[in-house]
Amino acid sequence: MRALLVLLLALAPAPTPAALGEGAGKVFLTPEEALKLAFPECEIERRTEYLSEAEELRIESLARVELAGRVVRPYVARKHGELVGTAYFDAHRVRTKNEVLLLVIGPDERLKRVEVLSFAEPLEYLPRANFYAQFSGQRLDDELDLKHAIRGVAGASLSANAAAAAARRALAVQHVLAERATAVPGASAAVR
Amino acid sequence: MRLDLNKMEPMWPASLLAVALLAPQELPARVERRLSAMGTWLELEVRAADRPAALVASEAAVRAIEAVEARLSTWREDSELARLNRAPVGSALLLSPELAADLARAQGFWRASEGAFDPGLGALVAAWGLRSGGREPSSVELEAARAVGGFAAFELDGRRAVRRHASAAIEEGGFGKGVGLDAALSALRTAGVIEARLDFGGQLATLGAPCTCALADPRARARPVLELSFPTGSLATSGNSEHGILVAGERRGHLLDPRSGAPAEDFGSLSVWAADATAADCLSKLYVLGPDGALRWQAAHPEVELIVLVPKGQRLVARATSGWRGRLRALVPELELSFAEERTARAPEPQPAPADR
Repeated sequence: MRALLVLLLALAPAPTPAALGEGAGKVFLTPEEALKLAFPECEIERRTEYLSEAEELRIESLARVELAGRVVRPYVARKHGELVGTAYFDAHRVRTKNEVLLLVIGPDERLKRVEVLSFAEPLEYLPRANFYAQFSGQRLDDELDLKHAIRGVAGASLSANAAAAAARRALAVQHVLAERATAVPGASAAVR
Repeated sequence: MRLDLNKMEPMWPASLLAVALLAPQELPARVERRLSAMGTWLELEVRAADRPAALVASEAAVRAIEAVEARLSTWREDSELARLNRAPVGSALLLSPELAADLARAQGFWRASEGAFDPGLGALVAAWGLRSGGREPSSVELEAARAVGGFAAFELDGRRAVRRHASAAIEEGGFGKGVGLDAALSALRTAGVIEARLDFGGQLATLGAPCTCALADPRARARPVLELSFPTGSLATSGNSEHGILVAGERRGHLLDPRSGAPAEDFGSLSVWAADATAADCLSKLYVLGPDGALRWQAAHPEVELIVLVPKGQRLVARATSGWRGRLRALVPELELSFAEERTARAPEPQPAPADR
């Protein structure tokens, strides 16, 4: 399964408009637009987190997908000082072209939003509606997996796999950063 | 209120004219979004005066649907409907005005359909294991689930709700998408949106512009077979081709017939147009009546319009109610289209199939 997912820019910084438009597919929103819509009236801090090798392995173990590197960039949104949520951009290859997703995770480490920012493959490769039935409100556990609660969809299995992997990856990163903040008070506190 | 599709002037020429009269720089901005919501996929296309306005309006629609999800989703324990489903038997629960309104509407369609649409199928859904891949209930289990009484096991009186059976549970799956779409359309209107089109897990709704789409072959969901257009309102389709459960190695439909407690007989698909999305969503469950039963029901309820698609060997029979006259186009040669009143088959000249919606 891993061979199917050639990750290009997992949990990358906000993709540039040029990157979003790669392959002349569909560009729905710019990253800036998506962040503003997901976190209205919030202060959004772009953080850069450097993962240790142990953290990288822990994330890959939790997510059961590979990370592209040890640098991750959460966008942490606060309103009046209160954490509203954390966003990740996940750019990955679906078949031969890129998809960029915005994944928003709430303070309770549950997935709040999955939004397609761009999809360079033909739109019929997007997963069908019922694939997303278990995304909303999911935490990272064994259920967030194509073989369990999140099922694959015939005809759109590549994008379904990619979206599920992106969700697991973002939730795992968020979980490990939260663990770090707990272990070392003051460190990565922005994601708690 | 009946919106007679047949008597309405086609809107698309006017829309084209309006576009033609606008200079390019005056064209309204269009925003398209695709995101997960309420356990399914939401596609929005919103036109407004400029892109910032379209973005803000689209987000208002998304937030409206998220609010409906927070209220109705029984996939999460903290929703108001989930709390009602856990309420002690016999104790009155004070509902929010919003949930009370949702349930009152669902109750109206439950009564109008004489129970063919029943949002209170939680006990049967559990018995058949619909949320866990499917299972064959024993006859004892099935009778116990039927004995719960469906929606009749809830007493609703304004904002007061009483649960009358320990296994009584309301499933939002039969009406939640419709409620979400109506909330989204309301938010878009409030935001001053000129035109919008929404596809919420396959249920369509349109605002200010006609919607043209294609119905899928019930035997092969990726194959469009019948193009249709409607000027306003919402279209919902029920069928067993996309969902289903495996029970003892046999594929069964996911649509339960409240009258028998068993999966409804699979006949193809039923598409229902109604002026609002909640009505279309609820009434698409008339699928359980079968094609003839659904069409008979519509004869007494002309405020909605139906299309049934029934595979017959190599052929595909489409039967539509009168409001669809002039609004349908066969996309495949084996489609036999007739209108419910005349019951005479006529096959329009096949047309090249456009891309599926």
